[in-house]
Amino acid sequence: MLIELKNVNFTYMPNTPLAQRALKNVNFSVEVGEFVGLIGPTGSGKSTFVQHLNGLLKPLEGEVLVEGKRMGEEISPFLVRRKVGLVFQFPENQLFEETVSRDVAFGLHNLGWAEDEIEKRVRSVLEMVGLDYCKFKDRSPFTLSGGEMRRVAIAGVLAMNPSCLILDEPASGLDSIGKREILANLERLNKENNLTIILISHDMDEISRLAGRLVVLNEGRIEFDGSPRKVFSLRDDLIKIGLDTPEFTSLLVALKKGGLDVPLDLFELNEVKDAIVSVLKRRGS
Amino acid sequence: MIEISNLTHIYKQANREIVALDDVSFDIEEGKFIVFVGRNGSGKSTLAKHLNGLIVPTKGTVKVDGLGTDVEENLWKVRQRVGMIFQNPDNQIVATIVEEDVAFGPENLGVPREEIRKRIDEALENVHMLEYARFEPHLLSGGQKQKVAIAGVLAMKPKYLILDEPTSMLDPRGRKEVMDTLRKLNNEQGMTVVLITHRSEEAIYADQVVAMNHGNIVFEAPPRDFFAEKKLLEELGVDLPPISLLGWELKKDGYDIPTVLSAEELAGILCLLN
Repeated sequence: MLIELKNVNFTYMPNTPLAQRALKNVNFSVEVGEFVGLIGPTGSGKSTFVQHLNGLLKPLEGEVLVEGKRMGEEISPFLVRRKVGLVFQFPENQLFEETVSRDVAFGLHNLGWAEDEIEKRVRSVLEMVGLDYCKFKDRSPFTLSGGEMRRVAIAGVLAMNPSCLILDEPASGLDSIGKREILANLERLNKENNLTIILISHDMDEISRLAGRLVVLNEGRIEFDGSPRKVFSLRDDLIKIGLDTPEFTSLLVALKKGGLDVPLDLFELNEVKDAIVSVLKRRGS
Repeated sequence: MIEISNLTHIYKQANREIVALDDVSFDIEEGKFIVFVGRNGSGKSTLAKHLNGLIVPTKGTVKVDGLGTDVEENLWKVRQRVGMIFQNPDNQIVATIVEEDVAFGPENLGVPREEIRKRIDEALENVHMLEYARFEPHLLSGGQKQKVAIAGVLAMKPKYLILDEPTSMLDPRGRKEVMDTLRKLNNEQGMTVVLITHRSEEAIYADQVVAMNHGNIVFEAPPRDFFAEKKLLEELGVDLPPISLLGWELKKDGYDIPTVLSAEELAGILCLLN
């Protein structure tokens, strides 16, 4: 098991009138190579949750285990932060160096790596996010497009060679091309590099296609945990807590109500289309 | 009316010039709901910043109800009329208590005290955040903060509301609430709404959808006609709503499907097919 949370409780400003319980008895574990989608309405505790996974926050009660070691006792939060990379919203705001390669290398410099090792690593992580090393290394990050800047920021986190990458809405604010590039990148990192990915997203269409497992947070609790097919079949429950299903699920549900016998758990354009065509053909014949 | 005439905007960066807007002319009529789409760098956000005089034209003019944004003395009046909401609420919240943040605008306008109280409650009610009036903004989630930022602008009772990707950080319910709020403000109070978004499904509520590319307005039409231009939109980097795409695919297979914008609409058509 890569990361485990056991009976974790967390409260902001405990013992004050403004105390807010943000996580309530959370149990969660993620294995190497999983692609987990984390969804939940705003204020459900998603950010608090992921900050527990990389040691930025310490649980008020309960424990966090990373590779089986208790955080704070058997493994330091400092080391955990290197193993579990966290990419915040709008990570491009954190770029500051004069060139792309210097920005990506910043963490490695701090670790005291040798120059030639750094260069090798920077080259490989830029290529992991789909940016050509020679073309981008000397450019100022501030002359890049939004999508490119964001990929440079992700490369900076990848440079630390994390076993798990957590991203908070990595596609938000990007146009359709930038979005597709980032998401394709994450998919590749997961499949080819066996990198564990935890993705926070409010885009049900996007997450239904990417994640192998969905975790739904609501009011600080894990409400559902399962495959997208299983979770999105709970349409009414999701809507009740402020979420939604992918557009295609809404369509399939409406078709079923209208008397067309289609399966409800399809998320890809082609499979939805094929299902509709086959049911229309059956009906026509 | 906001009149944009031959507007050119050039950003100077070190020794480079970037033409963000290239001779754009467009009128935003009162009471309309206009949506701007286009890829990153197409000039949408630069155009938005011109609408309340946050930046001044390199060439050309922008006039709000006849007031030119290039005249310093007009800016106060222009900004009273044109409220602006950006993507990231953290950059827009100034006070340490939600209701004080909402009061900030009207206080600066010299609105009387009782009236301010009324406006705060109305504005927070509009975005469903009244119960958070006494909260500290930093304790709110991103989506909740964005709704506070919108309330802050609504409390100034602007005539025109400009929003630059206001829903990109919100959850599905938050997005729906913001979109419902915008439609209500537009329908019931006649507020002019200009929305910049990457979400095609938000454009379906507009009177007019405008596509930008390389600093120019390249195409504009009501939503149904707009999303009928699949090939053009692909070239412009604008996604079709997934349901419209599915409609296209079915049409390619020989089914008689017009341009559809929503799941309910497509379901209705398919159930009647035989």
